[in-house]
Amino acid sequence: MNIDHLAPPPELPAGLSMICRIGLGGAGDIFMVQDITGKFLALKSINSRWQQKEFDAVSILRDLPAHPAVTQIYQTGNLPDGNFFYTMELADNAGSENSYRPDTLAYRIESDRMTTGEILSIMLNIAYGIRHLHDHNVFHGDIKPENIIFINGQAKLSDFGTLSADGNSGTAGFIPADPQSGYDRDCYALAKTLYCAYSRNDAAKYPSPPETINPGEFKIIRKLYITGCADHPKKRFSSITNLINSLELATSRFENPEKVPYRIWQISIPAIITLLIAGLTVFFFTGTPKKRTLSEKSLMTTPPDSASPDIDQRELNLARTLFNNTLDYNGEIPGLHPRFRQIFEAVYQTMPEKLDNDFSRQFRSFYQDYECFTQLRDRLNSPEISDREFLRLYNSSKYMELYCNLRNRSYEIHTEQNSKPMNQIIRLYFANRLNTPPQDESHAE
Amino acid sequence: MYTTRSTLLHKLQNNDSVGYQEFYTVYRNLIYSTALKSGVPAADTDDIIQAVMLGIFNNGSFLYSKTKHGLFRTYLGGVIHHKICDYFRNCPPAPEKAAPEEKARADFEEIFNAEYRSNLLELAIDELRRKVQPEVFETFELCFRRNLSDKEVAMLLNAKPNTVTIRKKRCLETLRTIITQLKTADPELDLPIL
Repeated sequence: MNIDHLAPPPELPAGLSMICRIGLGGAGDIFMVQDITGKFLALKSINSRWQQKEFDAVSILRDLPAHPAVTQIYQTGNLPDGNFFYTMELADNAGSENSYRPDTLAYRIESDRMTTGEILSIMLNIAYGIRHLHDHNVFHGDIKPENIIFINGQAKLSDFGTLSADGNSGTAGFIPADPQSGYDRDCYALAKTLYCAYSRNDAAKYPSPPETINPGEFKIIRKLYITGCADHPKKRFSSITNLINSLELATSRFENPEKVPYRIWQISIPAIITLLIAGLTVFFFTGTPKKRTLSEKSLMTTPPDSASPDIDQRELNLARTLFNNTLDYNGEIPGLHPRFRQIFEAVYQTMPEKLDNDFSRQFRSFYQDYECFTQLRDRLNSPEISDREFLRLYNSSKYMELYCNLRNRSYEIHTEQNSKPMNQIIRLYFANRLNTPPQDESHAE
Repeated sequence: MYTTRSTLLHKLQNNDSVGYQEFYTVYRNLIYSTALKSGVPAADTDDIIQAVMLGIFNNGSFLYSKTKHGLFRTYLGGVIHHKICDYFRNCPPAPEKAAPEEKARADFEEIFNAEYRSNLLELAIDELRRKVQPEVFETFELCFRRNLSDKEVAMLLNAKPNTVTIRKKRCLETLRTIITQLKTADPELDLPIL
């Protein structure tokens, strides 16, 4: 009979006071402690067998910049008994005043405490945390509901014992059959976690639907986890950014459930035609030609509704959060050299007939739409814009749809299928000793 | 995993520790529900589960042998029955609740066989889950277990009604094959014909 869990709590270094044991992990026990300022922390004492692995993981984590969706590590060192330890943020208490129970996603699933909107919001926050790790060439390796905790109500990744571990790390049910990389495993695991949170089923029961189905919500959420947990690696999300785009789009659809068109031109062309017809109708019926100008080029704005109700602060906060996450987007095409666009423009201006029509159309259309998008983004980001106008413009332009559409299209450009026309462009550029057009703001990267 | 003649038993006979965990996962619910329906309080069912596992695995060795014990179902049923009897011997029920030994044994066999059948069907559905695509299994769940119409399922899964019909057929065929294999392994169990 294993009585390790009954061993007395370890002696602590100076400055920390033991409160109680709060968890038994595979790598070691977790305790609630208090530092000299009175702050409550979690302390993990690592068994000798796992010391090197946890030490390596914590070292990697400590080198990364802080992120709101990643549990912060504070102190590290060796306990008087020789075990490696580290302290970290303590999860909120989901138990009673006299009994501590860590607030984890697993607990919230079990106690059925979340709405679908909250689940999406949690997944999105965690996805941002995962992207933070991936951007620094690190993957978590064991994402699951038990390893997502809540600190001051904010969802955070925890338990980093498998950080960037190779081989067979992870938990059964959260590992794809054919993992391509640690990054792929994280994306898969997050999608599976979403499934568990939404359906309240174990991972082993995937893809059994939830007990109660709301058709609208089911369709939105299902699409995410069916894609994320696809058997074939090429059908899964190719990156955490791709998953984030889809989560953001799902969140936007969840908040605004009306159907939206796919491409910018599907909005703008019918809009222009409608405006033209309206303009001609006024001209013929009033008989007085009036100088009319279109204040907007496309249907990205609609006439303000003077009778609109007070704005929903929660909706505004969500919109602002999502919008702010798009500010860094610079229209880059993943994997493509930053100078390629200038090279393309140089060749297109001098010998367009030698270019592959399909690729040229795709490439130019993407950047034209990107420029429309940046104009819209600049308007939304203007310091003069009121909250009401921001929300109106954000919703009427289907901003997040446009953003996600662009991101998705950017992944469709630098593909194997387009490698031949792209190579041709580069050959033509150097063979004809062309000069790239002068750098201007519209081509800024 | 659903058939006791497959690799699971083989793994156990080779003292495979992963096999032990799989065995526990597969049969824990069966032992739990049988104990519960036999009158063991819920709070004590974990003790029964532990006792049964210790009865089947002695010092880590898997004790079952087909030549010695016959069908695994019969062997497992016997072990569970003994452990439940041991439990009641130590905590006897009230005199008015105690049944004659023969009736108690017959009642237990009826309970155990029903639970075993139910457990096996769940395992068959788990096997179906592994064998077919997720979208196909979802169709099965929604049509047969939630009793939704083809049209409702098509709407939920964003599929055509014809696709739903095809998926249903595929699931039934696969499930029939699985259950036929189970019936071959244990004809006395009287599994349902689909």
